[in-house]
Amino acid sequence: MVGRSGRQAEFTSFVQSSARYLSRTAYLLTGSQERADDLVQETLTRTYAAWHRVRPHEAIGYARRVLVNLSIDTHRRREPVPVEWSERADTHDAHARSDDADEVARMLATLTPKQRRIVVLRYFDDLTEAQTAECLGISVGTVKSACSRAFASLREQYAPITNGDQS
Amino acid sequence: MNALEEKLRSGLTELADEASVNVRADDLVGTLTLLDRQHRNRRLLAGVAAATLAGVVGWAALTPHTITVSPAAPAAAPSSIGQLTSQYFRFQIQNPQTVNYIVGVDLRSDGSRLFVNTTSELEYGGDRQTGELSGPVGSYFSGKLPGNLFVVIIPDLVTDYASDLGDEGRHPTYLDGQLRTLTNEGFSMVVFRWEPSDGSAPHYFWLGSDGVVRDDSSTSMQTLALTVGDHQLRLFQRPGDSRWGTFPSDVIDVWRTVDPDRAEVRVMGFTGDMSVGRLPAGATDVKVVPRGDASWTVGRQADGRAWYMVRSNAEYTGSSSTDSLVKSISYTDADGKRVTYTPTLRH
Repeated sequence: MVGRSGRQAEFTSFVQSSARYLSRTAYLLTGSQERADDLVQETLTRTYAAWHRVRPHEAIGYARRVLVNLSIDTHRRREPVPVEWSERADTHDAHARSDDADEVARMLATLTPKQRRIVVLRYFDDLTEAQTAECLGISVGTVKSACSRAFASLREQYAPITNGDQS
Repeated sequence: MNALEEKLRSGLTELADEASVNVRADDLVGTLTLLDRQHRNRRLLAGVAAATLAGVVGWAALTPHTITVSPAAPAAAPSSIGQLTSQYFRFQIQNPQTVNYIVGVDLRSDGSRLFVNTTSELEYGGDRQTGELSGPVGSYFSGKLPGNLFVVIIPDLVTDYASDLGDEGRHPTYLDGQLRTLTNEGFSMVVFRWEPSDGSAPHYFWLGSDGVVRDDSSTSMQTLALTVGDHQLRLFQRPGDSRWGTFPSDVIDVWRTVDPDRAEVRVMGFTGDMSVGRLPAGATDVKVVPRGDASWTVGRQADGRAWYMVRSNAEYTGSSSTDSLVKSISYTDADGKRVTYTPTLRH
């Protein structure tokens, strides 16, 4: 059994190895650096509280589940749609993003929060449909249909993307 | 992967590169350690009172309802003894205001029995309730637990599940179930939070690793798998019941009551890129003529009745409420006559 100091060392190591991944996912889910920071802080606090029960191979999945669930609550508080992305998309400085990133930022802003969560988990975190369903606590069918609706919405708005692009 | 998916992947990665990492591990752990120490000190001082409170509030675990059955797939035993896994659940209840509950489930085994310990509390503290359920390793068992929880242990790697919201008159006021397929441990768990109108246990269906759909008593349903390309749909029915369901399901309640005979039923979301329907009894040599670029297949349920499935190869197939994927269906009937019909689009 790992003693308290060993547990702290383990958790410190986990934070060091997972913070970047959690921060990136949180940023994509919220579109705001400030909200992402709050989300990651709260996620790691809750994961620490459960650390004595969480097995090492489950830790990142556990933390991701907490993160995604907390992001749902953030939306439910009906905070304004984040403006950081669209503002950056409108700048033309030397360090501006590529056209693709600008376009994806606009795309994400048009999705419902649920669709955005699923798109981020599937296409950034590379979770399977089943893993995404488990992370969100919904059925595989709901993941499939939400993803399908999201893509239908994106195709309607960005029709030029699909010209001659069939795989 | 199509062009839109590729654009999403590369764009998301580039957007994520903008995120900064503002967590300092040593600072965070230092703060959490201090809070932990303060919390433990407060618990020591309030030890007697806390134990008394737990006895009053929490421990209302009912005798677990144990069912020992053998699904077609071999039961998988946990791979170790002791603490197996800890799982985190969050239930968001809207009845009528939104209330969030955090549920922790710890699973451990002594080799012959599996123990399920639950903790349920309001998200930011309060109303803490704990309970324990146990059953033989490798068996299917379930039970009610404090905090309006119902836990099911299935000795199989379940790939999907769906709730049965029940007939009119016994609709639960709130029901949410979340599946965990515990691959390392070799079994699955569904945790429900429910507020029943009549105190009954939740009803549900699950899809096992053998491809058979079963209900909450682990009774097998009549299951038919239809596959077009890499898309597979499973249709299931209870013998003698006109209702049918699909896995995966795109409806809140798993059952569909729409009559599938000589019909076209769009499934899977608003883009509804799949349609299914059932042919008359005795139909053979079935041919489907889809609208546009689509693929199709035909399968037969246990009593010989044929179902078709059509899946469009287009990326966007319009509205499921007005657009059909099927132009016509032809078959040879029981008298040897060739019949052609246009299925009725139904919802």
